[in-house]
Amino acid sequence: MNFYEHTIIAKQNLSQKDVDTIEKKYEDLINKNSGKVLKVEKWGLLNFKRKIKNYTKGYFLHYKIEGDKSTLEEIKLKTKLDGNIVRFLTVKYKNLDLKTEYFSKNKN
Amino acid sequence: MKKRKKNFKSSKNSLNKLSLFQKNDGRFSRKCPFSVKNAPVIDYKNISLLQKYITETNKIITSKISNVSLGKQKKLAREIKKAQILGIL
Repeated sequence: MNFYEHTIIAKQNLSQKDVDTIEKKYEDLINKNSGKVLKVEKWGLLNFKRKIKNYTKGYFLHYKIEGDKSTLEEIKLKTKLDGNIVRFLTVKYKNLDLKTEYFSKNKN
Repeated sequence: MKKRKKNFKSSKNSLNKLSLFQKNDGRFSRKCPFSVKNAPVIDYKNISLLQKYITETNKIITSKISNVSLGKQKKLAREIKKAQILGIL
């Protein structure tokens, strides 16, 4: 079981309720496919340095998960189908540090 | 006339010879900022650190100028590119 960091960028014109449903949906998706969500981070609305599909802002969701190849393929399949997700990035790690938060609200 | 091969090694030695007589100012012996004891963590989420190593036109500063060691410069470049994929840098 490897450790991964998975970040999702949702469209900017979504309401807060939609973002929560997206977050819930991917959390259950990971837990169902032999994966485990260790921590969820909501980075909120951030500006892009460059335009992605002519959007300038996006809701960032950050998951720290533990899983194997099958969960990643499932995630990739579902995000391709989902129209609300602009971009996603998964990074493999040997061990995750759950303490440091770079985008927590109180800091910036 | 034997062609004198320009040897990069020798020019480095000449710098050391030069610094013997002069006061040893910080220009020749600057340390890599990431190989000290509790160095900052190079991570694609740590934007405030990565911004120091890119120019205004979003180019990565070479290790000749920023004096970063080889291994850390590679890791730095990789993390900067990950942050650029996400669009936050």
